[in-house]
Amino acid sequence: MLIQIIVNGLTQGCIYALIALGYSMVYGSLRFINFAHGDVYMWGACFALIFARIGNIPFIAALFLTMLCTGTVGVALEFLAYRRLRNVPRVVVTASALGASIVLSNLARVLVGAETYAVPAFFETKYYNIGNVVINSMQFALLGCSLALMLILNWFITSTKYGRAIRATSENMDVTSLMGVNTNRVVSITFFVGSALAGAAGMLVAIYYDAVYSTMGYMAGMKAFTSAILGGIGSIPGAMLGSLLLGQIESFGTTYISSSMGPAISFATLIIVLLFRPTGFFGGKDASANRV
Amino acid sequence: MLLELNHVTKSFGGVVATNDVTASVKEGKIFSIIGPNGAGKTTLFNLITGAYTKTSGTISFNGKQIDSLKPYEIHELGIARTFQNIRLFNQMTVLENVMTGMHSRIKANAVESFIPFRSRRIEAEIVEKSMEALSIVGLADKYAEYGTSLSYGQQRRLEIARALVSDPKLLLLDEPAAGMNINESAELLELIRWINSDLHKTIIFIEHNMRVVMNVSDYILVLDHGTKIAEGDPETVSSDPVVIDAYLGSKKKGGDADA
Repeated sequence: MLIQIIVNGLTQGCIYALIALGYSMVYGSLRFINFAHGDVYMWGACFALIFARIGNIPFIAALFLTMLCTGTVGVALEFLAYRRLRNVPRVVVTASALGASIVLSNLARVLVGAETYAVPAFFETKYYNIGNVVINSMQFALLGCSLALMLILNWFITSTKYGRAIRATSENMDVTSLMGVNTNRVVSITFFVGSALAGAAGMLVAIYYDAVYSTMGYMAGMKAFTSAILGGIGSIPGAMLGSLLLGQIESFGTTYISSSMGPAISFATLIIVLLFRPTGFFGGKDASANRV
Repeated sequence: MLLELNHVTKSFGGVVATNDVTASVKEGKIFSIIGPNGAGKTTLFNLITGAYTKTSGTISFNGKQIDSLKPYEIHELGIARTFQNIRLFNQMTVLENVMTGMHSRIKANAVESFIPFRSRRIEAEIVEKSMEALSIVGLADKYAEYGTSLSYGQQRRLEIARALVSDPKLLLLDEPAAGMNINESAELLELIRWINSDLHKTIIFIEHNMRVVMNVSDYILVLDHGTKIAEGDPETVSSDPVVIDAYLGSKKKGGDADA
């Protein structure tokens, strides 16, 4: 029972992590909360639905294509809705993000439809009993893909040229630019990577819960945003750990307190943590972390 | 001429920070900019490197007009700088700080980072060049530390390494000896001379310490309130009555805290 709760929490936590990374990375470079990010995740689910309906596309290829598509959506989003707003008060960009969020979810309702759609299976579901824990192949795919993606991201950020440029840009964009880095391109890459990860999360959720709908980005986005804040927004390890923590809190909370109180438990946790650590667990250095 | 400023003016609202400055920097020389606080020295650096956009005038480098280019494009052409208030990346190691300066010198896009062997070769090349730059400034043994754990003087030398690693034609040093003790600043002067003579870098540097400036410069530009008041070799400048009045004069009155 206990292990089952932990595994369920881990599954949920991994999803939050894939989304939260995008919030944190964008906050890191541009210092605002991209509220349209949850809708990029929803578009990931929509692309997955489209590829599943086409059929005959292997799971990994569909995942790759979905990430490519949502990554492109993210780059376009930044170019159209945020790039010209670099030097205005942050509240203006945040308003633009809220607007973009509504546009993206309405677009999905028009182009994909307003109902909840089932996703044709990419592979057959099998159930595995490990001890007294039941894990199905969907869960395996979800855990495996999200852990692999997080490891790749971590490698990209710490040991490649553009990863270093992303970190430099998030510390000081002007200085980075004076060191010969095209920071606009770095911001585009940041959006591409963050949105591709959110798209992967959307696809994994779509096949795990077998449901795609145009408003699914809202609550997932809010929870992932909460995770990013919990971990310390702007911090990549913070986003990962904050998400895994929130997944566990939710899993235990819904089991032992109330199954309908999931969101309330998440946000109450956020408020309590922020009272004692306003910058989250990993956000100690950036005093502006809780100023949106 | 390597760098030419032609009637360059920069104003912020009503405040004119740089007023109609014309100057040219010869290749291979050490060119100093001096002047009291607020004379517009750093503004000039910001204009040359593209951090600010000029209000009027032209700046050209190697015969190419650069005053409307972006900072990273100017850096690519071969102008690198350090900062008066140290601007290191504090969440990166000493080596990573220098590696950032190599960004524009390695032509590899983000996708290439995902090609396994290609990626490793790119990184190895960046590390090699960066370690060379660290050796030049004497910080090779500190490569794994964080910038914040270095002394003030070491942080300034790290900034020089980060600028040097891109192999610039022109190096801009903004008060590189500020905050250093006598030994450190003497060593730094040696280093600057060596970078100029052995690495054949043209250097423009901003300095408050008159003794240092007179000692090391081939040519001096004197600014006051954004305007050029004198220029020439150290002899000429140090005997110019206008300079003595504006710069040395203010020091005698105790008006310049940083000098």
